[in-house]
Amino acid sequence: MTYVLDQSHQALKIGEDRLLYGYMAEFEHAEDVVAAARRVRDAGYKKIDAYTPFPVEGLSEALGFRDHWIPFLMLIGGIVGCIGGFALVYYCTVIAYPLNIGGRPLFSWPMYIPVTFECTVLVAALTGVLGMFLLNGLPMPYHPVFDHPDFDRASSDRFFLCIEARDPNFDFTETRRFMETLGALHVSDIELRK
Amino acid sequence: MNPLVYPDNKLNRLQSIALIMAVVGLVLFVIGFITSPGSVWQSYLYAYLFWLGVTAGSIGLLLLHHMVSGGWGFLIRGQLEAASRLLPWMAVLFVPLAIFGLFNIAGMNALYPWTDPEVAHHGVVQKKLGYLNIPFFLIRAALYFIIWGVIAMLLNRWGRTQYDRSDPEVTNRLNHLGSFGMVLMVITMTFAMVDWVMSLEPEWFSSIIGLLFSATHTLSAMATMLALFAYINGDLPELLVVPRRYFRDQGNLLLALVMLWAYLSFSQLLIIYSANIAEEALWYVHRERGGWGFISLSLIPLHFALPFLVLLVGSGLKQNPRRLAGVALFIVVMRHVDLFWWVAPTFRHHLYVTFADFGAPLLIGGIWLYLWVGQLRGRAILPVYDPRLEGHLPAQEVEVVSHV
Amino acid sequence: MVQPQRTDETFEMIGPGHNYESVTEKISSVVLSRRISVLWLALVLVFAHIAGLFGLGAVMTLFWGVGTWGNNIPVGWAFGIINFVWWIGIGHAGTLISAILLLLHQNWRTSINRFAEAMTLFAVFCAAQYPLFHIGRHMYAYWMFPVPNSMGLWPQFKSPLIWDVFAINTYLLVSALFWFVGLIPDLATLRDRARTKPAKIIYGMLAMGWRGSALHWRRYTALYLLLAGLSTPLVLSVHTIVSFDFAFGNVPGWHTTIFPPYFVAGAVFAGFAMVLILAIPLRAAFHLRDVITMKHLENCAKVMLATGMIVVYGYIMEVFFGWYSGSEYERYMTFVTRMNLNESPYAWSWYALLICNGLAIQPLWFKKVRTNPLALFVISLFVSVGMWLERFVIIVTSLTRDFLPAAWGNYSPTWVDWALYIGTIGLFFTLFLLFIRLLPAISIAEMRELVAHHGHGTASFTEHGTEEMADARLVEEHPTNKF
Repeated sequence: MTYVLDQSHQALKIGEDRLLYGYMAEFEHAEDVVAAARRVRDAGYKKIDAYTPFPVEGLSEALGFRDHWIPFLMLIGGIVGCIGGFALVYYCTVIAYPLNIGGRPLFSWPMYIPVTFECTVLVAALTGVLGMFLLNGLPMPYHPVFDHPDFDRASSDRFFLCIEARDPNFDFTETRRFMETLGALHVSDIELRK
Repeated sequence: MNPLVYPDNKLNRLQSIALIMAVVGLVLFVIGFITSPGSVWQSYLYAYLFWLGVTAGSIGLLLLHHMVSGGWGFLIRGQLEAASRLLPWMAVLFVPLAIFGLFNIAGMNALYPWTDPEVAHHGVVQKKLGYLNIPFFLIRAALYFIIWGVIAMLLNRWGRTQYDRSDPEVTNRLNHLGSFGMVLMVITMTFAMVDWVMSLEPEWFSSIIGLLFSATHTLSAMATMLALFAYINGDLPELLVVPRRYFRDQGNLLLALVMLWAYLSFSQLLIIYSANIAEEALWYVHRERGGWGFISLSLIPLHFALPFLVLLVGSGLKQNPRRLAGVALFIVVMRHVDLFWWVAPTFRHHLYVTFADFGAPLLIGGIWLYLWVGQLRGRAILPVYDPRLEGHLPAQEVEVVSHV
Repeated sequence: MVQPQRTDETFEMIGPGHNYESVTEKISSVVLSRRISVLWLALVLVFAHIAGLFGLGAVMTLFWGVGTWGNNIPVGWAFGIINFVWWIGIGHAGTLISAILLLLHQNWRTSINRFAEAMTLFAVFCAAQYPLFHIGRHMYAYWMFPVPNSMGLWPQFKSPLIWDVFAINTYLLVSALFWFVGLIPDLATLRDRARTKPAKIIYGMLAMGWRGSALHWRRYTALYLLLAGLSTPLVLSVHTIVSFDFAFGNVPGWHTTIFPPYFVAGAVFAGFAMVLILAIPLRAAFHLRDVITMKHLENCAKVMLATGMIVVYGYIMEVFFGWYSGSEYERYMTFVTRMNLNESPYAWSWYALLICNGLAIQPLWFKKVRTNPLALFVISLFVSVGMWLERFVIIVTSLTRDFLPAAWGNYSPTWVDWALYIGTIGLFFTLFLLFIRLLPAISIAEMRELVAHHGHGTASFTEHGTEEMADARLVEEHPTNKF
């Protein structure tokens, strides 16, 4: 029997009013979820994610995530803040409101450094934090994985691995069978609420 | 037994290079002496400050390492200890500086202007003569060398044990020496720099000088040691047993010291610039006129921005001793420029260089390197019984290192 | 509240027998427990009343003006800026612990960084009150910011006071972001463990739907590390700029180039004293001795000693260069106004400062003292007083005797000054007490990481290697090592 993705391409229609978001395997140890992630990845699955109570070393690499947006965004933010801060001080002290301060030249660049530095840090930090939230799609109060009965332990002592139904390799029975072999405590369905 | 020693072939070659440096330096220094006899001791002073910085900075790095540990220290520890053993030689090299710095000899004016009665009894300088006088100057210099020498001796005597056998008592003792020694070192270095650098312009004062020079001497030492490390040990496969973090930490410390130099130097500039008091600001005026402003400004990109950016983003570079050595060597050159900038503009109203400006660093550097290589011969590279090192090396690898 | 050393003290970074669930439970239960202890309530009430003093002083200032304060020419800056610098300085330790120690792979920071960051926020908040009230004409407060206006007026960007505006605001904002980003995973934990509906909703909203996705963690750790990298120079710049407030003037006793590093060291010094003042009762009251262990206290004591010695070095330099400058004003300031008990009405403060900041910390050279919570608590109190005195010496003493004897004058604070000062202490502790009951005072996610790396987390981990190897792996693989 074959199932098809629903209209949103997020989930598999597995019956009247039932949509499957994916399968979730639950692990007890951090090392196990890394090993399992590696196997899932090797098996060709792409739409996968893991949920852990702390950043597990090597997990995102095992899942094949390559994301370098944050350092890049913060670098851009820093450059913008640096140039912007310097330009602001220059504009104020030389163009908009030229004022003789203790006989120093109007363009006293050593005096510009502190504000320029503060602006650099401020814009870089703001860009980084906003970027992290936007890239991660937060805030997102509801997500299908929250429906997993044990998911409250994902923020305590359990490690989860999910293969999502929208993965092209996803198969209703095969994927389930494959996940049973990963050494998880148990594997369960995640259904999408209508 | 601890037989992973500094390789003789590299040491021999380095010693030959040192000899060539010393001979070329001597020739240039003599030519400088003939062509512009008035300025050779300025050249000598700045070159001396660099190599004293490497020696005293090595003591500082050793103290820091015994105090807070850190991966940067294990691989260069033997080199630092060898450098610290050269302290008596630095005292010997100080003698000509003391003679020509304090007395008018053969028609040459003494380097330190406050020895001239004309200057000494003029303006604010006369109020400082309780400190700036020849006998007290010499007594202080002797005191600095004695204190540094004792610290260096203890570092070497106790530190040696960690190459041969395990002794927690010694580790503990070195840890204490680290903190006490650091306090003594910074205080004595402060007064040494007041004497040898600040008093070149006796009206001038800047209370940051002690921390500034403590930091920059440490930078000189770190950069020199990293460059030499890559030359001597760069292709020893046995050294690959240490965690890669150790190499990264070396680069990070270098980065931190570059930042510290920038921070302290810029703070001094900004505070003096803002208050604009004649006694202080004149020092920067000397460094702005007659072409010197170009050197002053070039320090910002070359002594700070370039090494800073390269070390900040180059995480791959920091793990490769050879490439890191390139940056370190560049910093060594810039350290010379910086020290030259501290000393020369006081005397030279226009920017110019003499033969001795190139001769002096080569001469002192050659002598220093020659002696330093001698201190390394037959010595083990890694203090394998330093418990902090063992903690990072899996047990069997300590065995490998010990029985190669 | 301080109790003598007990047998459950440990020198490890975390007590034995902890696993993921137990650290989660231990830390979150402090927040989620519905029982309100009488002691906590009593303390909140006491400190809230003390904070009321601040409200009283603020109303006086707003109603009658800054004339209710004791400062007047020649001492135009007094309690307002003393307290400002004192609080800002205290705040610095929080950032130092959370950012610098993270970059230095000092894993012992884990269990103290959260509340130290909270301490930073509250301290900077308290500090910001003083300039806010000192400006006098509050309707013009926006003049401090570069806002285009019909007067064509712009801030004077060559003044360190304007730099302060930028530095303090940036610092407050970046610290708050750093703190909040660090809190998100723990807020998710609280959301998942909360038993009451309102708690679930509030923590749930604050957690922003954090679900611990591996991709999210990847971006999160990258951000956290970079924020630490940014905060480190930021925190140094803040107190450097504060030191410029003084060093830029030509007043004897203010204008000296050692101020930037000396102020930064003093700030960290005072901040670590405050960390100990908060941590020692906290671990006793909430039974957190196995999480905030003796190792943490000892390390804090070591940092305090090291920074304290830099501060003492600063005093030596001030005295020496006061003399070496050869300037009669500098010499008079150093040797008469500050040091001569017969000639100067303020010399007592200089000697008191030496006792509090110089002598009182010397016992910290001994391990016995560094591992005795009661002794540490007392020494930390001395240091807090000492660092307040240091600002008093620098600001008030210097201003009373400047260049012209005709312009000399003395200073004494009014009750409004005291009310504002003591009031902020009440405000600080009230906020802190509320914080420890409403948010996890220790980072749970980072404690789990620590548990994982120390092999206590799960039985299977120890099968992979010994604890030392786990340590080595931690050092090798820790994300901070990418730098």
